[in-house]
Amino acid sequence: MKKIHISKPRSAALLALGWLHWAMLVAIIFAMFFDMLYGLAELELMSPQAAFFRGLLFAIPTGLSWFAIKRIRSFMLFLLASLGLSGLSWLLVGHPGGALIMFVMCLIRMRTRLAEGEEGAVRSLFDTPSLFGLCVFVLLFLFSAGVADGLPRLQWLTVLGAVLYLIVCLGYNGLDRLDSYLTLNKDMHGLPARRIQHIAGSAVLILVLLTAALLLPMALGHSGFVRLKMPEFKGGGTENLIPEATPVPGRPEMKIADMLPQVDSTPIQIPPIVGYIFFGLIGALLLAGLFAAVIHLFKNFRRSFSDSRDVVQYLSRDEQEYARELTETLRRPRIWDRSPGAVIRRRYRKALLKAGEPPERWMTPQEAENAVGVQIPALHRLYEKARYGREECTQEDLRELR
Amino acid sequence: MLIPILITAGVLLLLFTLLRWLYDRFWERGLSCRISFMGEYAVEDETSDLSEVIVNRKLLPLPVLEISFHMDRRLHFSSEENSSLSDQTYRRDVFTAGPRQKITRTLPFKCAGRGYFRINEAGLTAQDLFLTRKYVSHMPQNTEFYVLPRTVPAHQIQIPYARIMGEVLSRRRVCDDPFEFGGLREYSRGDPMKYINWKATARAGRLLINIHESTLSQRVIIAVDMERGSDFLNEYAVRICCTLSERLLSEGIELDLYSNGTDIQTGEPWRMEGVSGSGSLLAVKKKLACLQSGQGLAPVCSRLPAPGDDLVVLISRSQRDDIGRDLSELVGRSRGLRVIPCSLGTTEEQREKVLLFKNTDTIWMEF
Repeated sequence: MKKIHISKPRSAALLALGWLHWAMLVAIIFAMFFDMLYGLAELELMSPQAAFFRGLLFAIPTGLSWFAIKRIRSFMLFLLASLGLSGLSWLLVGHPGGALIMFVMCLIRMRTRLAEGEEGAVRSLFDTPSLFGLCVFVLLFLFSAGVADGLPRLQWLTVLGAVLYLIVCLGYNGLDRLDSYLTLNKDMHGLPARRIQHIAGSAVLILVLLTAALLLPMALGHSGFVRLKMPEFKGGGTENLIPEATPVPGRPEMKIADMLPQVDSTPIQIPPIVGYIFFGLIGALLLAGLFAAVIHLFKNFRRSFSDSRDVVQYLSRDEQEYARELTETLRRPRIWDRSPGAVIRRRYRKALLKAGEPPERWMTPQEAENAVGVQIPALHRLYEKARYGREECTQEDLRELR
Repeated sequence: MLIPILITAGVLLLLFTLLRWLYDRFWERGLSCRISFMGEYAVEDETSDLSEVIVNRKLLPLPVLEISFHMDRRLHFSSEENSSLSDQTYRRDVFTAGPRQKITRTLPFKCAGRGYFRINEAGLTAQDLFLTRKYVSHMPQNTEFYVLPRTVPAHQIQIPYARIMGEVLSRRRVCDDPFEFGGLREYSRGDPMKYINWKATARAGRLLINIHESTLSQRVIIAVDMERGSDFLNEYAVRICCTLSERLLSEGIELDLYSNGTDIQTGEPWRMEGVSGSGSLLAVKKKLACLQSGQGLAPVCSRLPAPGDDLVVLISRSQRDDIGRDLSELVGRSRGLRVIPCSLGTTEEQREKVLLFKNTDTIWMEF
């Protein structure tokens, strides 16, 4: 047996998001299967919502299979573990489809490990979310809108699933980039890993929270049904697809209760006001969290501290003012002044300010150049002519500069 | 209900694009980077510090800001962290610059070899908030540092120094200046009558004579041979020159320094003429820090002017006869001194092989 170390919460979160993405893809396929079964054969073995939400539990055996392939060296033992995981999947998702997919997945993982021996580390699609995964939801959405009677329950789930998948992808990609950078530079001395994580991690978190706060309530409350009318073939020409945002006749409107797995036959009726309060609270909590994160972030930026070898100082308003004053000492010519002298002065100012800190007010051009560390002899000569010379700069001077 | 979701997703995408645009446009605004040596100079084997100051005056934070620059490999950062070594040391440091922040990092380094070092430019690589894009730029820098040669231990330099001082003093005695009063002493047989101080004699009741100082210019020409071969011995030649200069300047002797090596600052043949007084010592050491060896250099004696009565000291690791011959021809009727730094274990037989000349003394110094 081989030991696995998942050293940081960041790595653990990445793994968890990876497994969740696969579970979401599997879950939506389960939902489609059961909805189609109902649509075609009027056979309701399990509601699509239940299939979807229970399908999300598929993340657990997916994660366990990852651990198994990493830890178990013997293939026979891994096969036994695969059988166990298939059984667990059946139990969690509530139908043998879970077991089947899990078994196939374990076989693919085994093959990947053989390939890893020859080609090096391989990133498995089971553990790596990609925005291309959204295509699955889009295709199923089109399918639900295009079939003869429409599959409104599947359509609702594809919209919700797509939003959830987008959030998972955003979180995963952001964290992955951060993790890759920090892992690549982990041996670098004085790397401000905590501060990088603080800023870039907060940005990812804010993006995820913002996406969730804006899209999730809409996806959950999505009650319409889009229907695509397939064009009827006529000899004279073709008609385009016409999207329709009308509820399907004869189909009930979506309710919050429909989202929950239907374990027994007696339906649980939750009053709509409870749903509103629930989602209102979640929204308020998300917004409060976002607000607190932003405040915390900015509070940290406004203090001075020492971190390893770094002395980090917040530039106070006085220092900002002082810098602005210094910048103003290198006065910019009037914006409408397009004479050669003004162009030269503008260019000189830009060269000095680009090089670094603005020079002190009392400095001569030469001193200012030395202070900021630039060597621009041609520009220096022309600037002195433009700024202090008796003669005006000419187009010739400008041409010389170019 | 689908359309609002798509619109909201579009708005999110737009916000993301806007943020990217902001970074594309303004990442460099209000950002400055200053790399500077904390001191102006240090002696070989001492440690000094380099400071990196990053100022971000804008509101956009830069989660990753990499500063890279080249340094000479003779400056060793502690345990060579964040450095890759080739002909030069390439150093890369990562910073995180929040909004309106100033970050100062101090890096200690050890001066492993003599030289003049300069940082002209620093590379900047920043990344946006989500680490999706890289922005590359560079900023001019203007910082320089001298690593001065260390001095040779007193017991090693004593022999050449004593020999030089002996030569200088003997010339002093020969050429007294009658207008330069140095003191009184009792008359002894053989003293010229013209030096008797009659007033002092009358006051003291015994014969006293004036002592005169020499106003003859006490000048020594030191030449350092930097022909490439053994860098180790060339470095010792520079150290010997530095130590002799220090001692001779403190004795008030004027120095002319020459070498066939080049000055790293100007790229021209290295020389320093008319140096006098202890106050010039730092300038001499800085100049010596800029001396570099090279291939195919002209013979060192060809760089020297006609010495006249001045004492010429040649420091060269080379044991070739032509160098001794050149020195002998250069000094002519006067006398010269040839100092040969050699590695430990140089045998007498090897030393005897070196051709000796009547008008030059040869001193071997083992290191």
